[in-house]
Order: sequence, then structure tokens, then C-alpha cells
Amino acid sequence: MDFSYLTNNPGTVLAALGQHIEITALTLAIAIVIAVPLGTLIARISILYTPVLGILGIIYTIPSFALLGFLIQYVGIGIRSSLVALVAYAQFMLVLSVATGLRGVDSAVIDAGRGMGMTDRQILFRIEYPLALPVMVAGLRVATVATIAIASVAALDDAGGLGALLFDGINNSFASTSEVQVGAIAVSLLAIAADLLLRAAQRAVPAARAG
Amino acid sequence: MPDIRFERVTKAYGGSGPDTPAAVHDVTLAIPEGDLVVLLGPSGCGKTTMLRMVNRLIEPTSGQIYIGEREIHEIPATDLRRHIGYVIQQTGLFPHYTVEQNVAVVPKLLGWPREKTQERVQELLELVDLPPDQFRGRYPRQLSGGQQQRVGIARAMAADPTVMLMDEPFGAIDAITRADLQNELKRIQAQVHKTIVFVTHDVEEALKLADRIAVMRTGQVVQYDTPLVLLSRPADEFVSSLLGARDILRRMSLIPVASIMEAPGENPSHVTVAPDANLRDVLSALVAAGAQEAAVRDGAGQAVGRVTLARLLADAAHPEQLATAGS
Repeated sequence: MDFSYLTNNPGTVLAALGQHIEITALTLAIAIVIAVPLGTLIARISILYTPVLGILGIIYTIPSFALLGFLIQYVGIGIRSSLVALVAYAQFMLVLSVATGLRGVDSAVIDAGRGMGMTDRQILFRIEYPLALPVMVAGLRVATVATIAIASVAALDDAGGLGALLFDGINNSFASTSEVQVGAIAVSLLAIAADLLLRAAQRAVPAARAG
Repeated sequence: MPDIRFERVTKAYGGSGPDTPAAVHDVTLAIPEGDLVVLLGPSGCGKTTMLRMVNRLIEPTSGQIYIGEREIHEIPATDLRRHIGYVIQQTGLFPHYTVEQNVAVVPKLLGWPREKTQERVQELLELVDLPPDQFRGRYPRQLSGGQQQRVGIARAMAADPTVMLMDEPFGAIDAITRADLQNELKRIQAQVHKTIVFVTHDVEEALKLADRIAVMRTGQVVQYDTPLVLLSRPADEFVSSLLGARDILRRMSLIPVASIMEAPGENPSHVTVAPDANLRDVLSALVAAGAQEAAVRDGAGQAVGRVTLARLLADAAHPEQLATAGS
């Protein structure tokens, strides 16, 4: 392993790492805002469940290069088309986990809540979401790791991030192989760190005690 | 404390499937205040549908349901439910809430001050025999099935509702614990006198707990009376076979010794039964002692009456003469 690129350009690497985290965080924030209502909706209205997850599943299987290339034509080059692509990828895992989590809540618990006079809203926020949270966090974990990986491709879109080091190193014959290695290891470490963090969060979720 | 009245209540369903609740046809039924009334019948007879219409979890197709003076549809559903206790078979305890938080759900919905809620939780956990200091902070999964349902009962009573609905509350609990909980419920009911609608398909449970039983079949009430009358004068073959009315021992267990007791004789028997014993207890005592006669003695040991085996057997065979005197 050759870390000379890191020791020679610590600022560039740190900036790329920062951009990568930023893209990932922004993607997940937008994705969650869409996925929670959508997952709740399809958990409630079961005729929507299969078609919605079917469409999201198809998007999930499109190769990221192809989707990004397609989006650049319509949304233009820049971080916006990357975000659209990343949010679209994250939807499948997130919507699936929200819907699965909600569907897994014991119907007797909901019946008891309703029978004691809780409103639909109170049932959703005090019973269903807290009890679905472990499954939702598990979905977020998978989506986060996938987003970090796919966000490397965003560099093609001029959005920066650790992917920039990878592509720069591959395209530029004058650049050292160290740049590629540093980029690759940084992306991997970021993914592992995020995974560990969310795993810890998953354990801390109060409803996990119910299991 | 209000009574509950069903007036020509019908619940019809368009389709039918495994998840469709059973229909109810034109039922009129009055549940006296302070009574525990059991809705008894085979699955699909509509007993749970009847129960769930009282707190509007199911809305009737036609007819009225009154609690006291008010028709329940005049009251917003959530308000109505907050003032009716609700206990279900699977307990429905919130797994992410502690015992204390579970019991406090309705007081919290009603906006009670924290101290009042805490006092009430304390009082209720004592009532259902779960020492508060030991159980308040536990989660439902840390409790046995029987303890969970004790919490379920405490939770239903939290805001001191006058009406309680219990849907097979002890159905998922092992036989020994079930008997304990039934005794507990009798003890609690003797203290608080709620108006309770209790659904079960367990005949022994119904006979043990009910002031009155409504026997249901295919959405209709076939017979509605006290346990003893149901056993001694079943309306038809269905009621008779459902209740096992031909089972003489079962019938004897509902007849108090006082109804056939004679004045104490010169030499009271050494075989003793308590004044609140039933004929089945007397028969056991006589058979065990190989005696022909038992003395009924009060708490102080004073003989207050006597029962002979001959009289016991004669009356057990013809309980219809006793049916009214017995209840």
C-alpha cells in the first residue's frame, strides 16, 4: 500500500471525504423524507404495496453509471443529477423497511391502542413508528452503505467526493496509483464506520427491548 | 353506574372471509349496571362483534346502543373509548412501554396530572396483586402470561371506567393461572362493581364468573338468564348441549347449600360444610366421609343447619324447583 498521496495532499483527501459525507447525508435526508410517508402509505393500502416496491426494485437494479448518464441528459451535469440518482437508489431499501416494519407491528397492540381511545395519529407516532424503528434502522444501515458506495460514481457528475480521487487516478496516467488506493480505502473505511455507527444505533433503539 | 342496552342491533357484512367478523341479527339485550354479563357461544356466533360494537371498534349497520341515557354514537369514538375499559386475549400491552407506562396510557390521554397518574398506577398494581416496586419498571416481555394479563386488567381500569369490555381475556393462559385470574376478577369485581361485558367460549368460565349469560348462536341471543336457570331450564337443545345441562354435578355446583338446608338437629353431624358451600361441595364432603348427613356450620363453628344425602340427591335430580330460590 502506498499512502504517499495522503501524506502529500492531506487537504485534498480531507475535502473529498467531507464532500462524500455531505453527499451521503444530503441523499439520506431527502430519501428518508420521501420514504417514510411512502412506506407508511403502502403499508396501509395493500394494493399499492406490490406495484410501488416493484417499480423501486427495478430502479434499484439499473446500473448506477447508466442511470447517472441518463439523468445528466435531463437534469444536467452537477450535484443535482447525482442526488436524484442516489435518492432513487436509496428508496427501495428505505421504503421496504418502513413498510415491513409497520406491517410487522402486532395487530393486537394496535387494537388495544384504538380500543383505549388513541387517535390514528397517536397510534402511528406512539405505537407503530417506535415498534417499527428497529426494522427501519436496519434498512437505513443497508441504504447508507449502498449510498456511500454509489456516491463514488457522483464524481463523474462533477459532484466531487472520494470518487474524484479514484477517477482522477485512473484517468490521469501521470497520477500515482497511490491516489486510487487512498480513495478506495477511504471509501471503504467510511462505509464500515457508518455501518458500525448505525449498528450501535440499532441496538440503542428502545423498541429493540421488546424483542 | 350505567347499564348497557342493545336495541334491535344488526351488523351485516357484504362479503365473508376468514377475517370478516361474524354478523349480528336484530339483537336486543339489556345489561344491568354492576353486573358481569358473559356473551357465550361457539366461534362465529357474533359475540365478539357484539362486544366491539360497544366501544365502536365495529359500527352497527342498524339499531342503537345505549350506555346509561346516551346513545353511544352521540359521543366521539375516542372519547367514548377512553371511558370504557378494554381487555383483549393477546393483552395488547405496548412492548416498548414499561408496566407503569402501559397502565398510564389512558390517564395520559385524558391529560391527568402526573402525580395523580402515579398514585393511580400504584393503587391498581396493588389491586391486581403485582407489587408496584417490583413490577412498575418492567417491560411486558419480562412478565409471565398471567402477569401480563394482570397488567392488562389494571390498564383497562386505569381511568376508573364504569364499563369494561373483556374479550376472552384468559383464553391464551394456562389452566391453573386461568383459574387464579378468574378468582382475582371475581374478587376485584366484588370490590368495584363495574358493568362488565365478558366474551368467552369457555362454558366453565362463563358459569363461574357470570351474573347473567347471553348464549349466542349465528348472530342471535338464544337465551339470556342466570347460570342456574340456563342449566336447569335450557331454552332448547343447543343451549342444553352447549352448557352440558345434563351434567348433574355441574348443576349442583351452582346451587347454594342454603336452598336445601333444614333446621339443625339434636346431634349435628361431624361432617362440616360452610354456609356458602354449594351442593357439589356437600356431596364431596359426604362421599369423602362416607356419611349420610352433614352439618352446616358458620365461622364460629355453630351448627346453623343440616343437609341429608337423600334430600341432596332428590333435589339435584329436580333442580327446576330450586332455580329461582337458588339465585
